[in-house]
Amino acid sequence: MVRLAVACILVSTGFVTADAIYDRFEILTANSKTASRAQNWKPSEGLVLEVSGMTWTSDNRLAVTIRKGEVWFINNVESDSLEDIEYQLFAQGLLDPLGILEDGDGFLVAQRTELTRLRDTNGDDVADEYLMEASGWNVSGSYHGYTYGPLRDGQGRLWITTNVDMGDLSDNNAAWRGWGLTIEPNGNLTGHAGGMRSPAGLGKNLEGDAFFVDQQGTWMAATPIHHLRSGVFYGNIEGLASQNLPESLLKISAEIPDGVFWQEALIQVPELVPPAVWLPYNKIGRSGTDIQVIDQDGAFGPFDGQLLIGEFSNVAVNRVFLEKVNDEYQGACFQFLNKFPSGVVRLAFGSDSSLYVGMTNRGWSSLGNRAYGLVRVRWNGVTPFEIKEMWAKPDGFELTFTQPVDPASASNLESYQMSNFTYNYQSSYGSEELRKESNRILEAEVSDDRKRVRLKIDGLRELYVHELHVNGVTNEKGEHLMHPEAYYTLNKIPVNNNK
Amino acid sequence: MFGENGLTFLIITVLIGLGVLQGFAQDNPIVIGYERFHSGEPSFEGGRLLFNELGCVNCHDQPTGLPVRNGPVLNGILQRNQLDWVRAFLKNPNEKKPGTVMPDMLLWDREIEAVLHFLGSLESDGTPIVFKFVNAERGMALYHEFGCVACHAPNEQFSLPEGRPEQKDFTYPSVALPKLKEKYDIHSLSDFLYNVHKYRPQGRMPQFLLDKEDGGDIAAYLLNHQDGEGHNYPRIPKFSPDPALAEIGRVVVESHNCAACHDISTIKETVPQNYQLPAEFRNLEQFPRHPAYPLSKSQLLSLETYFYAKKNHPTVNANLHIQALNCMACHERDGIGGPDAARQRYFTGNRDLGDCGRIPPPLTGVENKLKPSWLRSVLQGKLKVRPYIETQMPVYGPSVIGLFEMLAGNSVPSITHGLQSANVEVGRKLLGTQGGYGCITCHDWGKRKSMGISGLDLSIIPDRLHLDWLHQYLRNPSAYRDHTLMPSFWPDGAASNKEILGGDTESQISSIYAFALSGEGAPEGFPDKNTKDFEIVPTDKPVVQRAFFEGVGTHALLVGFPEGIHLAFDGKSGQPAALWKGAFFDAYRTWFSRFPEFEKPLGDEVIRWPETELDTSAKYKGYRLDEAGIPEFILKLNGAEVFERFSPQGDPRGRVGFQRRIRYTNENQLEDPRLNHPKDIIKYEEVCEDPLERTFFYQW
Repeated sequence: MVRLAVACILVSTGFVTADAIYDRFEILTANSKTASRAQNWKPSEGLVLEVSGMTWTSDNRLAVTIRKGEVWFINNVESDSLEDIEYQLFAQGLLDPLGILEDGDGFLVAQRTELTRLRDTNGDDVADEYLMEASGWNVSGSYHGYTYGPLRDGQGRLWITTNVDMGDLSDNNAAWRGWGLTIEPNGNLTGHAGGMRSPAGLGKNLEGDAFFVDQQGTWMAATPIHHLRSGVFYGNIEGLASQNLPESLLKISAEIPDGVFWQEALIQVPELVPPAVWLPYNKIGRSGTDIQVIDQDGAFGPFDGQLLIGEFSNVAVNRVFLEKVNDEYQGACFQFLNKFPSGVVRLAFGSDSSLYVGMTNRGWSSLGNRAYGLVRVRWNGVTPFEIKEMWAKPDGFELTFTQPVDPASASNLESYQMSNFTYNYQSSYGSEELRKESNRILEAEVSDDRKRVRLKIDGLRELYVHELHVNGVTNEKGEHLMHPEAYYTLNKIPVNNNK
Repeated sequence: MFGENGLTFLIITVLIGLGVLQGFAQDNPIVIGYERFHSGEPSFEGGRLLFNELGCVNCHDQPTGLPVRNGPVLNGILQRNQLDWVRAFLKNPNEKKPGTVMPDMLLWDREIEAVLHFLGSLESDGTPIVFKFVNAERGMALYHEFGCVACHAPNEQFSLPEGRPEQKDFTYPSVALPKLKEKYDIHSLSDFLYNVHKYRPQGRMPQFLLDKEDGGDIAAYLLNHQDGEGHNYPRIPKFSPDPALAEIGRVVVESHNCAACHDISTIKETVPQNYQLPAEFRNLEQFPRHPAYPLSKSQLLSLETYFYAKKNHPTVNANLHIQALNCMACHERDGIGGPDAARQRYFTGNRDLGDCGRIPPPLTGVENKLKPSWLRSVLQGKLKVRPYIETQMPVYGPSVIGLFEMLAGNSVPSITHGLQSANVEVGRKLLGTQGGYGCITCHDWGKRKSMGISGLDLSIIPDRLHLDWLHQYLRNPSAYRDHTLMPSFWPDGAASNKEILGGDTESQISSIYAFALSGEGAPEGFPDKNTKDFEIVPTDKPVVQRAFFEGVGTHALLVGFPEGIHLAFDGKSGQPAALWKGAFFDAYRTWFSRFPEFEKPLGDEVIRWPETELDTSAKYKGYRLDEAGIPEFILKLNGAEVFERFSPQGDPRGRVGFQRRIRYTNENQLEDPRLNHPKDIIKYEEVCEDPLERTFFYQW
């Protein structure tokens, strides 16, 4: 009787959490914040699963790199019984491996100083070849000189990204700090795009276009999601000296301003490109870490084709919807899953359509209280009530919803609030949200199938982030949206409805 | 002294006379707090600030409630400043030092000469330091790092990593420096920098905490001296005053009431009644004449507003006090002030901490944040909790006492939070990394360094902070500082850690405070760096580990063997780099720290290969492990592969050394340009059947 009453209250207030829809299963999670930090922990003791890279292999297991410098295979990771899950050490002795990709009969792993090809040539399931696939970006020994990737995009190009040096020993004038590089089969590097700061995660969408997520900081107003391509500049000037290298496809043609609005900077510097999506600080997250497209044909819920973004500080996974306007990507971000036990660093789907979430807390601070771990997230088939997509229109936006909406609430203009803001392009850390203005909602037209709402909105501004709160819209059961906020980076207002 | 009528007369005189003469030029006296916060609209508060800062209040009895501001001590002034400069300054203060708050006393040339002789008769104690060596370049860096540029203009030659700011980003004027070379010699200028409060006890220039050489270097920079032997620099010539003229000068000084703003040791309180000036000075008998200020229009209107408001004892708030002392050159308070965009660039520190790592903290609510004892020490420049900020919190003179009293008096820390529900041991856990919030991941604890970025020391929280403020702050750190990297562990007041004390926010925060207060040890989870916990001990197989390694670089491949001899191979040049015996290495920095510092051999008898020019004809291509786990390095030389392997081998007498085997793949490689051997090593070449193979045996 009591339980029933509680259930009624939950339903009547329209309160369903994502936890009820995406089941979590902790595969290997340090049961305290210590483990790898314990005073008496010895290197020989156990597996410290501080996940730093992940990929699903062609023989159906999860390959994981850990920060200690090892590669592990996890067999039967999709099992609901922890006893079935087996761990197999494949390679060791690496330095800060931050990504892994299956390639031919081996694996490519990005270490600090090189991209390494790992192969098992004698069939014992342990790597015995550690071949240098590529190197040549400078590694000064500064603490933040990381290498991320590799990612193979839809055109078959192999990408890595490099962090700028920070702290003592920094040498950002040396080769390729803060760059997106491709690696030819012979190991030669091409510097496609510069201006990255801490491009911690790479991913591609269903079309095979590559993206990366950078971090708020110097020259970075907030966390940006960028389309990775040739000849462009992403904003951070610290490693720009490498544009003078013969392998650079970027040559900046203008003086770079400091402390102007982003719009102004884009006019002054032709090579500078805006992010496809800004993730506003604190509202969405603080530190994006990885990009994983949802490519599960509906088996992970109704968001196929969208990107999931790992979030370290706020121990979360956020969601990004992209569309092309004027042939450039732009779109919106939404909160999606939160309250993971440790800083979310890597995401990968398994053949069971589960999302594997790899975590570590060491060295940076997150809201999590576990040192590290691996959590499996599986959709239980219930469709969450969410804003599914947000499309830019010449005179507003079109929202699609995952469930039919209650027409009365969805056509009520009061159900929506929108404002917009921009950022400064500046050398100092981050940026405030500036020039904030509110937008007037003029019209909200609900489609016949009640899954779309066309909003006509006054005061749209190009290159501003449009922040939408949909607090009033309910579904047919009177439930509110799980995440009523959306942040659309309106780089371009489309000219016509079909684009 | 002059009463209201006198002041009205003064204002009108200045308004009609100088204001018009000078136009509303930009060379009006600069009081930064006025220019920044009050120059827009004439106001009572703006007028009050000027009335105090221009020294009006020193003669006119209309108390401002603000800290006394005086000019420099005049004793020994001509030992410190060049005679010609002082003469020119007295003649036209604002021309010699644009923006000075020293008024033009409208002295005649003959009077000025007499005043100079009088000043020359005032001696001061102390002998300036003579520097053996000064470094102007270093001085320039210090000038820009210490925070001098919060008030004074930065040098256009000084380069910043992100480029110099544009002129438009300077939104308020700097306190202009005179042509210092005309005023000081290096000895007197550095002496001043070391002893600011001796010469200007009630001035606005604070005292920076300078190390031994700093003052000389900064002075050398300011005087544009080349580096070199300090004692060769010219010194201010000694001036011998004429006693008779000095006596006349004394009368001039007394009659102009200079002592209202300046300490003068021999001056009398009042003008002698029956004193007769010599004949040539007779026409000066109309004492006193009024000081004249080239005020801007806004300054005039503000002074009028203040004066005519006739509030004789108005209460003063801390904000105006703070503006008078120009604390807001570095600090923001209630959303205003702090360095502008241009000056912010000169604030440097630890970039890992974002802007909080380089820009001094806001003063918003500081009276309810800091405990009075701590606040007093901070104002006296005794304590520094943010060592990562390069800009110094300088020491203020007696003028800061009033501010302290005001802040301490305004302080009304609420006492809604107590320590009743606190638990010291729980606090230890919460601060630690063993199931707590991991505060020590980013914060130091006493002498223990944090495990990541070096955020400020948490062990002194109870010395510094009111408990209530901490409660308020931790619930929403961003409300205090927009761009703080400090996460919100208690968002909206709800603890994100539910496992400790049932997630009760009140008890958790109080427990953290109580633990720091208890002084009982450190939070959980600090690793002990020195116990070799992370020593890698090869047992049954060799261990290969990449690391940053001293003397080898960032591409080092370390190979440890169970036999107790080890190799460092350079994965960049493809060359062996070092051998050693005993323990292999401690991987703490590589495996644990976020900052992988350079490792070094844990054992001894380290043998290193001679550093040679990097031979670019060979290239490192990777390694293969054989059945025994020994790596064979793959190199490329003259377009073909070369394989190189080190393996332990005993000699006939049972001593263990290394066998170094090199396998070439064609004859052209046999003249191997990169092949060399360490000195101080016993080396044999073994005969190989395969002509493409060479084998060496190393023993040391």
